[in-house]
Amino acid sequence: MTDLPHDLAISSGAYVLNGLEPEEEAQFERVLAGSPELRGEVTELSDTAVELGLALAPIEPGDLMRARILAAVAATPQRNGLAAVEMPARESAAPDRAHRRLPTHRWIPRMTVLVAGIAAVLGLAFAIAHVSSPNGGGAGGPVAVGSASDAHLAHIAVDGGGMLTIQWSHRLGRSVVSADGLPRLAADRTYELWYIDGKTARPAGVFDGTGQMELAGRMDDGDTIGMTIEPAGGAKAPSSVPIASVAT
Amino acid sequence: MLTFPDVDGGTVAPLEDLLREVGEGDRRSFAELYDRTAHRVYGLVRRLLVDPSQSEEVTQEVYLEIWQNAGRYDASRGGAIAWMMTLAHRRAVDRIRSSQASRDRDLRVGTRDWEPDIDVVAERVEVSLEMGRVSAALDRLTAVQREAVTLTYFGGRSNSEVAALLHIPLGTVKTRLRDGLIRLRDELGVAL
Repeated sequence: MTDLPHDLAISSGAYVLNGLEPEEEAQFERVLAGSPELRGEVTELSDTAVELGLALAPIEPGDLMRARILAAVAATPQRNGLAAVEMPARESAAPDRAHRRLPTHRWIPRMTVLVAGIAAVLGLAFAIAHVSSPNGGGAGGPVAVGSASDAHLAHIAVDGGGMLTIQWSHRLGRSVVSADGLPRLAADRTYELWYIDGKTARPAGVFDGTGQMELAGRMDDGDTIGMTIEPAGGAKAPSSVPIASVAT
Repeated sequence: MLTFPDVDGGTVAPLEDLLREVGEGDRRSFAELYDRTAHRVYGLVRRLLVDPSQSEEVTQEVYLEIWQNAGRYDASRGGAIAWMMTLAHRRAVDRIRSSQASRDRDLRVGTRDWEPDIDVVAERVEVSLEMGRVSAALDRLTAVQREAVTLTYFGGRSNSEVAALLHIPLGTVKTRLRDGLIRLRDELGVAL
């Protein structure tokens, strides 16, 4: 590359493989914008990277995912080809990387892609699907979480069987859990949820494993949400590592 | 332009046409686009994230982004599958970095037990590729180029991580990635 600082001229491969650190990437993109020569190289190397991805053995996702995506799409307006609407960035435990703009590969610059908005839509679709759940909290509580601007949604497998679906909003400091296929426990045992901040686990309510429940107490930024099995009535501290957990 | 194999052998709409229709709000085209590409997108995301539930979340995010932004796709600038796979790789890497950030934080405060196992780098270097052409092209890289490209693309590792893992300077990582990709490009004859 002519007229480029050496460390930038050699960064094209790292850039298309998404290996640059955020600051380097921003710097590279500024240079890229002014260098047709570099853009040409990035375009070719980006296509090469795609070939690597296409060479991987494909994996069929489950029907459930297809249903979720089609449901979410049905509830989601599209962005037109003109000005993108800026949405507030979510407050995240990892703001440095999660909200970076997409790289300016040749087709990407016009896509202002915002994870927060996507997460909100997935959360909303979920909330709509579950709003009639028998254990739904009062006064639209769970729905409020699902439709928050920074709503997140995670589906996680539970050790011992079943799936847990957790929605949370850092902005609201709240989260909602629902379960699918959790094993029924003996009468003297219960599922219990926790907010775990690294040093301590705060009890966030016992859960009978059916319907939907909003966790008790406030969720702080960076909390991990975990679930354990405890004596009926709940415990003040978890007796084991979580059988399911998600970092928020 | 990359083409997508037509498994049925019949005439099917090119993915670029489907994506354009998706951009016009056609949900039936979106479903077809999903059915014809999800195994590719999910395969890539799974390779990077390993964890099935996280991979499903990210794949959902990718397809919603495709839905929302299809109107901005410009076929003259590249193939549909390339556009989608580029987006998927980016989102998967974002997820890796963001969960790494929280994992690093939790490890600092000593709650290792709460976190899932961290992948050991060595096991991620070997990748099974189904397409002989790409696999053969990778074989023509030097071992150190192949290692750097594999760790970065298939392992989702940042340059700094690769440098630390291999005990080499950052600039060396970048050089290996660029030289390796250029070699791959030439071997594969990637057309513009």
